[in-house]
Amino acid sequence: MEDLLKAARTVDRNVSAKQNHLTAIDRTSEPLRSISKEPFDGSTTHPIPSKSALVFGRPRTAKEVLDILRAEPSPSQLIASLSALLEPASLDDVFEASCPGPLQAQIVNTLLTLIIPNCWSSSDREIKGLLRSSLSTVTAISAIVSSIQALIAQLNTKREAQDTGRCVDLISVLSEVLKPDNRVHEIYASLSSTSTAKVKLDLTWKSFANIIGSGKVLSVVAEAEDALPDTTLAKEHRWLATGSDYAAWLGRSIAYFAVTEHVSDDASTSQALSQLLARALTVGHALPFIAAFHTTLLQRLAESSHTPVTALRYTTQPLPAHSKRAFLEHTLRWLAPLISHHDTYHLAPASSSQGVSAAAYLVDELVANDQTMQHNLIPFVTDPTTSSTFPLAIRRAVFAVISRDEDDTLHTIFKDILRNFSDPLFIMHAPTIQQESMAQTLLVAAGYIHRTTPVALLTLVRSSGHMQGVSSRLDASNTRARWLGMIIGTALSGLVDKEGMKMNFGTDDMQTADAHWYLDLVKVDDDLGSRESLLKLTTQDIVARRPRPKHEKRTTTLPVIDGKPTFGPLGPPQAPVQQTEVEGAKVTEILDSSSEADDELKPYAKPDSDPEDSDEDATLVDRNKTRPPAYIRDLMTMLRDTENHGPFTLGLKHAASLTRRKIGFGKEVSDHAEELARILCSLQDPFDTDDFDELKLQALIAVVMSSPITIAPWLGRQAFVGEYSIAQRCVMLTALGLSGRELAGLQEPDGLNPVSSKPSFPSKQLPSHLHDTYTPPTRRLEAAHLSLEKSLIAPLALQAADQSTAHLNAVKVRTFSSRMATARTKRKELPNGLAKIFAQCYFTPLVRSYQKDVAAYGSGSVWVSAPFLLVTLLKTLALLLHASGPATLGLREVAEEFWQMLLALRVQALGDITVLEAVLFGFLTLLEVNTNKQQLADEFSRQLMETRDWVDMVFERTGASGLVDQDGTGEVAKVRTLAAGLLVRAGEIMEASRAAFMGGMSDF
Amino acid sequence: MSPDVPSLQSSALPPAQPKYVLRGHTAQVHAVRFLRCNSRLLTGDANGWVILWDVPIKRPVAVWRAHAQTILGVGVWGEVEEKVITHGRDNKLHIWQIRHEDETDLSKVLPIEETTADRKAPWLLHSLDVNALNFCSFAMCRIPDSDHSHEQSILIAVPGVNDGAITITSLPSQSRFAAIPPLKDINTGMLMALRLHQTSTSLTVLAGYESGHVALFRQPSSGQLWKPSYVAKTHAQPVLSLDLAPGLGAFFSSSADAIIARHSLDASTEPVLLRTKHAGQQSLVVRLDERVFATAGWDGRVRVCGTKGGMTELAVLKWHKEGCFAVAFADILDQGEQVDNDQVVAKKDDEAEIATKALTVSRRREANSAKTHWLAAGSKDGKVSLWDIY
Repeated sequence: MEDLLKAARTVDRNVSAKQNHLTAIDRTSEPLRSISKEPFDGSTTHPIPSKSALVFGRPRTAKEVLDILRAEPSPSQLIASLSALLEPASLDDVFEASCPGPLQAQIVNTLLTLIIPNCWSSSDREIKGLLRSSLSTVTAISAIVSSIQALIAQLNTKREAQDTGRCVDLISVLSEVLKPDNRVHEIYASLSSTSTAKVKLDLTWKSFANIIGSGKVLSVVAEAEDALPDTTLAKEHRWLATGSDYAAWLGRSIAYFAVTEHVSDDASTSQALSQLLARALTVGHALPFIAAFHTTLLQRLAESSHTPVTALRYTTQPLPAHSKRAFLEHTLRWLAPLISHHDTYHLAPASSSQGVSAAAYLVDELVANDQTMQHNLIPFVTDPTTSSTFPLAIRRAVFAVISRDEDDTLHTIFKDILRNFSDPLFIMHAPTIQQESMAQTLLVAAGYIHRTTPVALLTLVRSSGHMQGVSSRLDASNTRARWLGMIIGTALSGLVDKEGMKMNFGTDDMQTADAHWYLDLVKVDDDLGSRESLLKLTTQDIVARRPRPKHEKRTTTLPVIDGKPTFGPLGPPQAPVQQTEVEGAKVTEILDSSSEADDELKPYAKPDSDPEDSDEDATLVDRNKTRPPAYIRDLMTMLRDTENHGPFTLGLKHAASLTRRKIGFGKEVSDHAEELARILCSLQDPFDTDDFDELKLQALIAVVMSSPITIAPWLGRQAFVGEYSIAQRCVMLTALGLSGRELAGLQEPDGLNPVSSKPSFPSKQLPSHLHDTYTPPTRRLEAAHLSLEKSLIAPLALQAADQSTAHLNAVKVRTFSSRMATARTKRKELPNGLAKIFAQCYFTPLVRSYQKDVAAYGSGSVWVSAPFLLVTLLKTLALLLHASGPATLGLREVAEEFWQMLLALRVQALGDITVLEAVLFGFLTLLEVNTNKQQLADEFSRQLMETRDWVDMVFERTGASGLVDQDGTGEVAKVRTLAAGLLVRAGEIMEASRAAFMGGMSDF
Repeated sequence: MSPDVPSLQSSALPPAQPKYVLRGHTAQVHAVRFLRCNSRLLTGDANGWVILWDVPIKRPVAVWRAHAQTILGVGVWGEVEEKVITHGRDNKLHIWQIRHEDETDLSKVLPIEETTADRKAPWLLHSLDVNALNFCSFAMCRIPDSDHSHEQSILIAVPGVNDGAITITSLPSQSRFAAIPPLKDINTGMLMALRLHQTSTSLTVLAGYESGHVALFRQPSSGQLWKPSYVAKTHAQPVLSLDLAPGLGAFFSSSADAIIARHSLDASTEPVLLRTKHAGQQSLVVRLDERVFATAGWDGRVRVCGTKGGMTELAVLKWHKEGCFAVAFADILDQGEQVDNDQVVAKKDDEAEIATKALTVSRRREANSAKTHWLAAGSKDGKVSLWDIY
């Protein structure tokens, strides 16, 4: 295959053909006749001179077609020869355009090097259609991709207009050839209809699957787009270079293929199809791919009597085992957001829901009669890490499928989960989210087992494993883990024990809404849905995701005259502006206006406003002056308007102040808060607005402040979902951090009035465009962090100074450390609004989402790969915790979870000094906020010791590396200071504990 | 504006407010015209919709889509003005028949109500092709006819195929009356505005061009070519509208720049310029009594100025938030004696008739409405405001 393509890649006859276009016919036809003799006997039996073919319409053989194509054909000749190619019956010899061969390669090469550059951009629809069809072959597509690749190299060395044009043409050809969803199937069908040997066919298809499925097209076109000057590539062809669009196309194409072919039930086709599918799963944009695949499959089959079962099975059956697992996982990931919503995560009724059964239907279709798939399905509920990344709804769907099995898979699963759940190591170390998800899964599984075989559940529950599990959970220091143990105990006992024997803890925390929700999980009984419900689910999704029109109101009122929208009053095209010159008569200016005016008419007074034109020149008058937004609705319209500079900038400028003004003024802000926050989160700056980041941040803070109880958790989750950039996520975190501080009364002086302080040494600034690039969007957060860090370290340093000068105590008026204390008492305490809601609205959403993200994507998660993001998250959490202070509601749980998170980051922290600094800062904040030292030492003794040991190691290591600057500045020095501070703090706490143990002899 | 404005201020009327606002169009209103003794108002919009309003009760009486594209101009024709002329950007000029009795059959559902119901179009009498790709509306005038027995005939002037050329057709015969070639030696660009005026002896044609030129043609003696008798370039921007006041021997032109110019019909004096400092003055019309004229401004304000002397700005009508494109005056029926015109005489008869009838409430309303000095302004926002001015 590669050999065939090479010929197509290198030959360029363009120049010679143009120079000698008169003699081109003879020149090109001579040598070719000899070539074509070998493979095609047909052409020799009809020795018609090629010239006559050129003159008299339709060519008779494929070789003649080639001759015509090489000789700069006229449009009519081109049409005749291409249509001859497409109808092999009309040719006298045996020619199959779709199977690879030397003549085909030559024709494709000629089309690409001669016809496309000359004709493509200027041809009409008919020629384009013919060209598209004749290039819809494996040979042609790989040749196009290779040609683009070759052109990229040329473009990178020297950008010439000619090459640019060719490249754009080729990309548009490729895009138009591939665009229809049925093209892949067409190519396969024409390939398999040829008489080529099976081996050759397989090889060809494999190479095609390689090109299409492996993302080669994507990468080549993306590279070309990069090499081309901006905006040369038309918008409709950009999908080839956009990963998600391309993946969606691939999904649609494969689905179409499956739909058309599954009826035939041909094994080799199925093989070919799954080959392509296995390739496509590795493209890297799995979600859009899977979404497009399933949606198309469902919709295409919606009308027909066939169920997608057959089509799905037909496609996935021959897949290799690992691809099956990937396919299953991506499908579940695609279903997850469809059937569960973040916001209703906790309070969703545990009863059977439409979405779950619809999802169960699809999963059932996938795994039915497929051992590998069934086997692959189990880890999604038993493995704590994987399982915790899926919402409960998905796990319920999986159970609905598994419970239909006759054998005792469910029992095995239940035992597995129970063992995991009762494992003391798991109880102690696993993140809360995993423990919760395990508990939920366990309860759902128990419910299913109980309904089918109550006795089996009885034996399982009576087993020593369960009893031990509950008791080790009751021992756990983590309250949530303990609580989950109580829930499991109560729920299972409620199922198997007789009335009166049921386990009952009788505590208050078993009566909460949360507890009831958990206890109700054993009643979950989902049935397999139907195709209709699934179809409904996917169509709902499509409707919900359809982008809302950008200018809803504008578009309807904008007049369209002759197909073109008019933006100003109906006016003629501008005539060249000339100086007023007079022909015929002279012009007199009015000197005395009242000379013969009609005095009878009494003038009306001027209206309230009648501004004169802003400019003398009529072409420069700006009539559409935008006003600042007066309502939140206006503001959102203005921010969505990415076409017009004025409204956008004005809207952004007034966003923060408007939102703050409207807080508590009706329900305007609270009704739109989430929508507004969503706009702000994904806001891009199309106009290079000054201070864009700052304005956006201020607006976002204002929105959070409007209703922290709903928006803060939402924003916390939002920072982890979607396809936001690192900068956008940072802005969200910063907004959370600063809004939390504001709630806590630690408002910065310019918090309401966003006057950004100008840097004092502008000469030290980078040029403006670089400055924007390199200034992190977390500048404000950084400032708050620094001041806090200073305030935490300073008293420790003062104390140290105090002690080292203990011999001078007699002459000191005040000890250094008491000076700090008096300074602190001066500050008037503002009511701390954050303490009440910190755990619930700020801390939990952020930490849970973080854990979920890391569990789901591992080291591929952006939160692991981008230390900057992690640092921002840690600093945000630490700042918020500090702002929330010792009075935080549920401080114990917060401290425990934060501590656990920080300890888990120890390894990562050693790899990156910024993370290290953030982790140390987090520890310091933890110790600072927990003011009751004795309690801290009692409850967190293990964590405290671990922390101390590790910090000790860090301290030693930073000291030993000799990296500390002499003057004590720099990153390493800062880390060392922090570590030292931490050690002192930890020492104090242990001292306090020891003192308490010794009988309170000290005055701590 | 002028030095004596402060002194006038004390005796000035309060700022004018619209009496009524007619909401019905979904696209910008490009043409407005009063007809049938002010009892009807015809409006046309950028989507090709035409609405015939009953002025006394301010309700639509006929709504139909006359053209597939923007309406450029509307006109009326006939003894009792029962024929409606519409000119659209789809290169068509249609003449519809809407008699009083036809109104009951026609749809009254406004375009704003977004119904999909089929609308009946009025009876189409004539349809002319206008082969010009510009924004210039047609112009018409009546041919004075000694013989009143048969149908009144009119002349219709439309832009020709060549830039700057004018074609004049006579109706109902649909015969070519004249073809005026583009101006020689001057690159005028497209034709922007036309006006016809027929005196008892000859025909006067006014033309405004994209280059800012204004030309006046008089009907030559038969067999000779049409030649401009007056050409002036008073505007730096394309001319947008023209209207003439035969009683004053003058005509006015407005353009996309801020200038309004008064030219004399016999070219005896130099043009007088009014610099309004508000660019974009469209649809200039002179009221029938020739005391005032009005322009629709792209700044959303209609300006009413005196026709004489320095063209003092008398009123600035501000209500529309977006640019105004069309303005029309109602006929002055109570002081018609100033103008000697067949049509007005006929109207006076009507008026007398109204006055003598025993007046029911609705009759009284109609009579009052007919006597009101309406000014109608159509704007980009699709609304038409009615003002009572002077």
